[in-house]
Amino acid sequence: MNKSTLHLIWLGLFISLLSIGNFFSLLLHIPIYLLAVLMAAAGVLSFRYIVRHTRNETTGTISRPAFYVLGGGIALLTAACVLLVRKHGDTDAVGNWNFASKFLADPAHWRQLLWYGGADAHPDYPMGYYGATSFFWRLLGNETLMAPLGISLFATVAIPVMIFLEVSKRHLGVATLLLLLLVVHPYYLNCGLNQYADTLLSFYILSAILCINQFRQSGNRVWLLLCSASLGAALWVKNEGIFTCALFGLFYFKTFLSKNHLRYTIGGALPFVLALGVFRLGFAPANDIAAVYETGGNTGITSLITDKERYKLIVSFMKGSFDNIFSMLKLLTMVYLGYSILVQKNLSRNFYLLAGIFACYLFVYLITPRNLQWHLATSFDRLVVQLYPSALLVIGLALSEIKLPATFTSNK
Amino acid sequence: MSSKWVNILLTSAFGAVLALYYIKSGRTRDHVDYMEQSLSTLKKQLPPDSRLQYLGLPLDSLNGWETYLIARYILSPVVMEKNTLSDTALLLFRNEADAAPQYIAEGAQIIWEYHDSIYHYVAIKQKLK
Repeated sequence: MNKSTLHLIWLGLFISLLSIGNFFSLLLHIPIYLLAVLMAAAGVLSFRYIVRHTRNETTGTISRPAFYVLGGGIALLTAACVLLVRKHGDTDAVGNWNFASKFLADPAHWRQLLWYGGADAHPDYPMGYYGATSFFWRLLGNETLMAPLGISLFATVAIPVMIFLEVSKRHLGVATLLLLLLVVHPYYLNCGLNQYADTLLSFYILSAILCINQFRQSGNRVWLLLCSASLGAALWVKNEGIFTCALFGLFYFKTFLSKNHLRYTIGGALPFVLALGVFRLGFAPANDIAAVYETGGNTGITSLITDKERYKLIVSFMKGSFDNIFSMLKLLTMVYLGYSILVQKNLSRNFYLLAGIFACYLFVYLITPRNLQWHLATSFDRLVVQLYPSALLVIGLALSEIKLPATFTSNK
Repeated sequence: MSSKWVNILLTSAFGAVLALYYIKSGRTRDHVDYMEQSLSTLKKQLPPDSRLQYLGLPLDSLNGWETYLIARYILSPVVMEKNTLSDTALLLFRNEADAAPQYIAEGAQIIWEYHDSIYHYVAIKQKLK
């Protein structure tokens, strides 16, 4: 792994740790300046630990052509960001994330967020994003919009860079294609710049895949710790993170739970699981979809699953999304499937993993008690964004093994 | 090349976007800004632990739900509840839609009935000077 990728993974996890620190400081009445000192110390120590223990598996260099391509890509991304960014972000930023941040930025009244009902203001949403925003707001003493934008922008910029750095080692041409598919993708950029938490979740899913790949190559258990922490952060940023954790657990069951690894698995996930446990058990109302089933309000789950019209509607949204917004992903997936089935005779385990997460998302649509048309229209494309970078990475790593003329390959 | 250069490149891009956003956001005003100006007086009057009743109406270019979302964002940590007639204030959005007269009449009646209390009528305009 490139050192810059490792630094970005650490920074992403540190942002999530800030939100955990903020949550516990509100519970325990810890002053923000003391919290800032504690978090700075935790940041320095964790960074040094990670860098020291992964020294043998990280590389501090990048080829000159790759650097120039990356520079061009980042310049393009910067220009696109400036054009697309909106002052207050999109509906989710105003209606959910920054709204909730304002409560958490006020230690005397933050619990008032829980006065809202579950379906109205979603106080059940985990704090990964808005907790970090409110940490900065508390520290700076004002509710600057630079804080939520900065966090969201970090994920938006980091994702294409991480993918490029990891794929360019194998194939510069494929890495360049993947870079372009992110930095000029208006929907991906819009989600990130206008402060949807989906981009942050996609960052953690990508981090988890990069770390598990690195662990499988090297056997260094610090990568497992980072993977586990990334999964915890995914769980702490959006409810959908539970599917990522469940599917990772299923696909890497032996890896995570083997006797020699368990300490690292638990160590990485512990802060996030602890924070989520306290939040869920002590404060958050039930999720609006889950609440309907818990209270027996919707007893017709069988009728929902057997309703053919629901399948047709979901498929039509899928088709629309992959034809219009993610058409290149569809094309690359077809090429990947063709190559893997015909040449490699095997699909990557991580591809099955992502397909499994996607299937879970589709199943939630199938059983949602809400209006399905509305639910799909307001969230389907964003769910694809959550998996889009990881899918590009998995496909890119496989396609980089196809031999192209030498002029397209990296001269490391 | 050293990965330090990648980090410098990333930090520069990050700083450039934030700096340009800072300049751009200082020069533009959107619906949130307009509503913030409309609601500033009410926000000052309300204790932060209030529950605020509201009767929501859509503005011309925004639907009612978005208007409600922006208002509750601006007024937080005051909690907004829809027309339950039990607490401190009333917020009424103005618009030209068909439903407006009904809501305005309803709001006027509530203000009349609770005139000793601190009910408010707030008209939010599309653009303020």
